[in-house]
Order: sequence, then structure tokens, then C-alpha cells
Amino acid sequence: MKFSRSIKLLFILALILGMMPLAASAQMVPVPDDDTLVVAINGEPGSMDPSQVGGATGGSNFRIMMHVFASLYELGQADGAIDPYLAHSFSVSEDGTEWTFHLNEGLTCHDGEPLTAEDVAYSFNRMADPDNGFTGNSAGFVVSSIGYLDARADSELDVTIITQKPQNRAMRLGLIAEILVHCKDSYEAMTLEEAARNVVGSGPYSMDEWVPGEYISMQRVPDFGLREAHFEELVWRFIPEPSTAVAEVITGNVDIYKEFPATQGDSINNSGAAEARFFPGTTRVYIGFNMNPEASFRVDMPSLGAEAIMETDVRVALQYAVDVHAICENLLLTTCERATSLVNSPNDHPTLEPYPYDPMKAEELLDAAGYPRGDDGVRFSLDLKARRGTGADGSDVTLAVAQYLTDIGVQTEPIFIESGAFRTDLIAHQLGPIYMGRTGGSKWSAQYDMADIPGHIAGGAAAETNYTHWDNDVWFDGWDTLPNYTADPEAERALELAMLEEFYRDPPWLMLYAGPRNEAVSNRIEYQSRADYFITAYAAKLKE
Amino acid sequence: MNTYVIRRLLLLPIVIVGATFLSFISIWLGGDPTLFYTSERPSKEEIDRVRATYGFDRPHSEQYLDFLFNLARGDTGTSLYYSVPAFNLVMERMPATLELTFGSFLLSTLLAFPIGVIAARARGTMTDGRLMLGAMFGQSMPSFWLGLMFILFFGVTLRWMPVSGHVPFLKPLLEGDIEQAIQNFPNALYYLTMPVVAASVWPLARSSRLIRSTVLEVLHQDYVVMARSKGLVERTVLARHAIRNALIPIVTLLGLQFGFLLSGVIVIEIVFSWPGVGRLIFSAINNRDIPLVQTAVTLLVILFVGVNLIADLLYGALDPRIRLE
Repeated sequence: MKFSRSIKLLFILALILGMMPLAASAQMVPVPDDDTLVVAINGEPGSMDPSQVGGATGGSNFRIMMHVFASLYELGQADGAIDPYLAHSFSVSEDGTEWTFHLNEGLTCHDGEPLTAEDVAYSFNRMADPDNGFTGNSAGFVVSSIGYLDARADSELDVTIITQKPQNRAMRLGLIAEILVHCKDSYEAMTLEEAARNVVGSGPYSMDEWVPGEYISMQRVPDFGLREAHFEELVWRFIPEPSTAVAEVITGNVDIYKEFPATQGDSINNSGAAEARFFPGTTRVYIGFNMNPEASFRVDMPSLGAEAIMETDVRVALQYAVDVHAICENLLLTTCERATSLVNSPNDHPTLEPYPYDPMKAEELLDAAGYPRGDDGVRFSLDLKARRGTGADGSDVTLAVAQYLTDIGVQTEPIFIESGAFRTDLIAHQLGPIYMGRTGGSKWSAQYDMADIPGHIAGGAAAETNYTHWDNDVWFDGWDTLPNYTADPEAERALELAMLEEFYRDPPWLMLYAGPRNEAVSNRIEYQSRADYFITAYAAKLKE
Repeated sequence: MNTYVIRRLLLLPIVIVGATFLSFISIWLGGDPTLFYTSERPSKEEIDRVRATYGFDRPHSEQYLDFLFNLARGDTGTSLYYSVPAFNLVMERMPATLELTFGSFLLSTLLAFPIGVIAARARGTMTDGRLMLGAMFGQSMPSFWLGLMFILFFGVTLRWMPVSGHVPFLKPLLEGDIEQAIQNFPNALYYLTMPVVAASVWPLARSSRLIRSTVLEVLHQDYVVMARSKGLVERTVLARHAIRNALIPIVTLLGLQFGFLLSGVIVIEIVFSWPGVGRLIFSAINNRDIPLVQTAVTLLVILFVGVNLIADLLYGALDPRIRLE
């Protein structure tokens, strides 16, 4: 009897502890009101300094910062669009190296300071100044990609960007769109450490509060005339666990969540609170054939497989071995188009047909190339290096590709390695003999996508980003010639197409697809999903 | 006792060196951090520049000794990812972690005592069997799974509890804003409930089993038999003679348990989007943010050693025969 009383006491204690918070929660779980849009992202930005974009601060900060900072031009929501923003137009010098942007009148930063050409020049020079030590996409990639030299204010509203070389217009505009403009006086008054947390923006929203580890909230800038922001408040919640973020979408606490686990699409759709959207993205996913003759796997551990993939006929044969559509439908739970080159639609080659899935043909071509099946059914063996993970280049896709290749007698062993070691070997051209690759792409410039494998001047086969060490003179010569055609778009496009045909004929990649994206969007809003990585939250609005 | 405390505190730097050295080596074993701080398509020039900017081009030993030297001066360095002093970042997140850790510690300890004692007293009965079966389940369920199940059931299906998030209580309290802390308290408790319960299940199960076995052992001691034969009521026998003597191993366990909770809440913080140090360390490891990892590890080591020191000091209070020298 004594102990049954104790048990009762125990349960009463547990009940009290359990009920205390429930009692406190007399209010229901809060959901966003009609003036607030909530976007969930997995990673918290490290810095909100407009010159520190991507890289050290993680890719997520541009998504957020593009709402508080404006740029000269902007990558539009429609496929391939690059829209005027702070600048209404631009002109290019005769030699193609100086680009003058003409700013709209009456621009201001969020502290009220007028935004002029001098501020734009300051933004570019601050970002490119090595003394500031900025890393990431703006300072690390854009500066070198456009051959940036200097920026100067020609007048109150005209700013000129001076570069080393002429360049394809869409590519240059798209890259310049990644440079976020800020006001000189406010940022000169801050140390770099202060600028990482204190934001004085120039875009449709102004920074309200940054609660570390939780969220960033923004308020709509009244009278910002360049873009129409529909919600009064915009909140970016940092939710590292995807399943938790999906739960927040289902309970109506989050309006937009990009890149949820594809398997949770049905849960989102069945909730009635949101819609799970699946659509083609811009990240190109491929199997890279590493042809570096000095790669350690080739020099130290020579193998028939490593030698075989040096031959064009073998690389073409392997294109027929993989059923890309089955991978997309069964593993990525969506449909996707097989790529014909490294360029995304709509800038890809208009007439090239993707290699079909035809394992018999793959076997015939391998026989003809001099690699018949041996007594054990194996033609040769390959190691397929990959990162462990999920998504378009995830572990299950790697395993599927390895099985498809094994099915045609190419014994393929998937080897998963840590992401840092993967990147180190990739950049050193040591990853292989084959690897599961992915690389960011665009909808706005063929040459942006093609720049993964640049020309002779940029290093040719040895260029850092030519991870397959592909050595092809038609391609490299093409790149060296392209700058001559920047003023003649038709000739430029013809040369691009010729280069893509060469890529198709002598493929350094086993072409897969532009990785599908997905996005959960609350049923209470109208919002156009983007194929690329960005989220244009300011364009979202409540349904009528 | 003072000598004992000083001796224990003098050991602290050795523990810090050991822990930070291991974390430093572990990060480098994962590959060169430089590539986490370059653009997506870095040139060799960019890689070299970033490597020099962060000092990754220097010998590892030099980098580590530099960290120790600066630590001795009270400078833990600047986070590579956040570009602000690493110490400030960790301290900013510490209150949230302490809320979760203390909450779980308190809940698991408060419930473990009655469960363990009841099970011990009812040894071999249905009550004992049920309680220990529950404890076995508790120890078998991974906390991240349990957390997700709580979210699914209480957050999504019943809509009783918030799925994720945090309302600060300790932070305003530590900053002296008592009014704000009081105002936040109900909501803080509300948001704290699911993470705390999820984090408590494993330590609760572990402690209950240990308390049961320790009390069982004590219940058969001569002095307990003597107390009963004196005619003392069972409650007095348990409270004054059995439990007090069983407390020493339990206090040791609880001290260690606090340390396990500090590290264990990392998963809970991720699942519930709790803005604590655990989540910060997790992202710092993913970003190869060496100064931040080292700073967080150092502060957690100090906390862990401090709590265990308190546990050791409690021995003397619980059993006057124990002298700490």
C-alpha cells in the first residue's frame, strides 16, 4: 500500500511537471500574421557584410542579403532574365573593357544617405581590396571572372567598371548582379567586424533584428520604388534539421522552404497548408572522367579502367549505360531532362539529342573500342568517388550509376569520401578515375556554364576548374576566340554551339541532368519559385 | 579542502590542452579547411590567398601553439565564419544551452530518484518490472528520434506544442533584466518543454537504473536492518539511512551526467532549432571554423570540470568520513 501511494505521488509530480508548460501555453502556437512572411533556411549566415558573399559565410547569406541590398542589375525570376535595378541602363566602351552604368535618380541607403555613383564605385573597390581580406564568391570568383581592375564615378549617376578584357554581355551582367551596393559613408565608419553584423542596406527591406541561431527579421522600406515588396515584415528562420523545417511548413509557421527532403513532398501536400513543388534546377550533375595523365591513381596504381576512360570512344559508350530518367523518377521523385552538355536550358544546344539509355549499344561500343568482357564478365574496373549525402548527387544516385556501369561489364566501385577531402582532390585534378560531380549553373548565360572548362589563356587542361583535366583544342581555341565576338552576338552564339558539339562528341563528363529543385510554398501566398538557388521573397504576396 | 580545490584547478589547463589538441587534430584530419572559405570555383591564386589570410599555410604545430599562447592571454581568436570574436559567440549561445541542460538535468534527476527508490523497494514485483522495462526503453531510444516523434505528435498532429524555437529566460536574467525574464518565463517554459523531455529520457533511464541498484545494495546493509528492527517507519529508514548512504555513487554519476547532457544536447538543439552552443559547435565543425570549435570546447571543458569539482566537494557534505586532501 505504501508504495502504491508513492507511485501515485510520482505520477502527480510528473503530471505537474508536464502540465506546467501546457498551462503556460494558454495561447496557441503562434502562426505568422498577414503582414509577415516567414522563410526557413537550414544554415545561418556568418556575416551580413555585403562584400562577403558566399564562401566563408556560407551560400545562404546572398539569399538574405539580396533583400536588404540592391545591385546594379538583378538576376530576374524568369529563366535567363537579367533585369535593371539600381541602374536603368549601361553602355560599353569600344574595346569592351569599360562598362558604364547609368543609375536611377533619387536612390538612398536605409540610413537616408543618398546613393550615388561614388557609393557604387566604393562597393566594388571595397569588395576587391585585398587588404579587406574578403573571400567567397564576390571577392574570390566575380573579381577574377570579369577581370576586374577598378571602378570610378564619372558623375553623380554614372559609374564605370574597368576590366581587363571584353566579355560576353549576359555573363558579365550576371556576375555584376552578384555585387551588392552599399553606401560609402556608413561602411567607412564601421570596422570589418562591425560590418559583419550591422547592416545599412539599399534594397526593398531594411534589417530589423538578428537573433543569433534563431532568425533575422526585416521591415519593408517605405517608398522603395525599384521593387514592390508585399509583406510588411520578412523573417528568415534558421532551422538546421530539414524534417523540423517541414514540420513548421505543415503547421503553417513557415511560408517558403527550399530544398526539403523529396520524400516529404506527400506530407507537405497532404497537410493542406502548403504545396510541394518540384522543378528543374540549375546545378549540373555529372560523372567526371578524370583524364589527368599525372593523377596519382594513374601513375601509382595503373589500371585498365583508368586508361580506358582516356579514350573518347569509351567515354561515349558509357553515356548509353545510365538510365537517367529512371534515376530521376525513382530516386529524386521527379522527372528531369538529360543534359547534352555542361550548359543548362535555355542556353544549351538546341538540336543535340541527349544520349539515350541503351545498354546494348554501350556494350557494342565497348567491344568495338577493344574492351570486351573477360571470362568473369568484367571489361575493366573503375572507382567512382563521391560525397555521401542526399539530393541530386546523393549517395543513392552514386550507387545507381555504379550499378548501371557494372551491368555493362564496367565493374564500378563507389567510394564515399569526406567532403573536404573530395574538394581538395577535385581541385588538384586527383579525383577519380571517375567521380560524382556537381557544379552551380545558370539560366542566363551559356558561357557562365561553359566557364567550368576555360580556354588556353586560363590554363587549358591544367585550369583549376577543369577538374577532369580534359584536353581539347577545339574547345580551348573556341574560348580564346569568343572575346573577339562580344560585339557580334550571332557569331558568338555560333561558336558557342560549335564548342558544345565538341563537348558532346568528345565528352569529359558522363552527362546526367540539371539537378531538380524543390520548394515548399504555403497555400496562403502567391510566389514564383526560381530554378536557381535564390529566393525572391519580396515578390511573394498573400492570395486574394 | 582548499588544497584539493587548487590541485584540481591546476589540472584544468592540462585537460584543456588535451581536449583542444584532439579537436584541432580532428578538424585537420577532415581535410584542408581552406576550401571551405573560397568561392565555388576557386583559382589556385585564390586558394593560396585564402590559405595565407587564415594562416593555414603555417605548420600545424605553430597554429596550435599560437592558439594556446593567445588563450593564455585571454584571446580565443576570431571566428572564421562569423568574423566576430569566438568567445562572444559562444557566450551569446551559452544561456540557451544551460537552460536546456539544467532543465534536462533537473527533470531527469527529480524523476529518477522516486523511480529508482520505488523499483528498489519493490524489487522483483510487477512494479519493479514495469519501471525497469520503461528505463530500458528510455535508454534504447535515440534522442534525435524521440525529438522528431515529439515534434510529429505534439507539434504537428496535436498542435499542442511549438515545433521549434526558443524564448530566452536565462539571458535576460543574467543581463539583469529581471522584468523581461519574468515576462518571458511562461513562454520560455513552453518552448523548453519538448526539448527538455526529449533530452531527459536517456539520463532519466540511466539514473533510475543506477539509483535502483545502489539503493538495493544499501537496503541489505546491517545498519538498515538495525534501523528497521528499532521500529522506525519505512519512510524514515529509506530517507535517513538508506538513500543518504546511497548518494555518493549517485552524485558521481550525476556530475558526469551533466557533462554527457552538455554534449548530448547537440542533437536536441539541432532537431528543435535551439540556439545553443551545441548547434554552434556543429555548424563550426561543418564549416571547419577552427577558432570557434576550440573556444567552445575550452569553455565546455571548464564547465564540465567545474560541475564535477562541485560533485566531488559534495562528497564531504554527504559523508563526513570523506576528507578531500
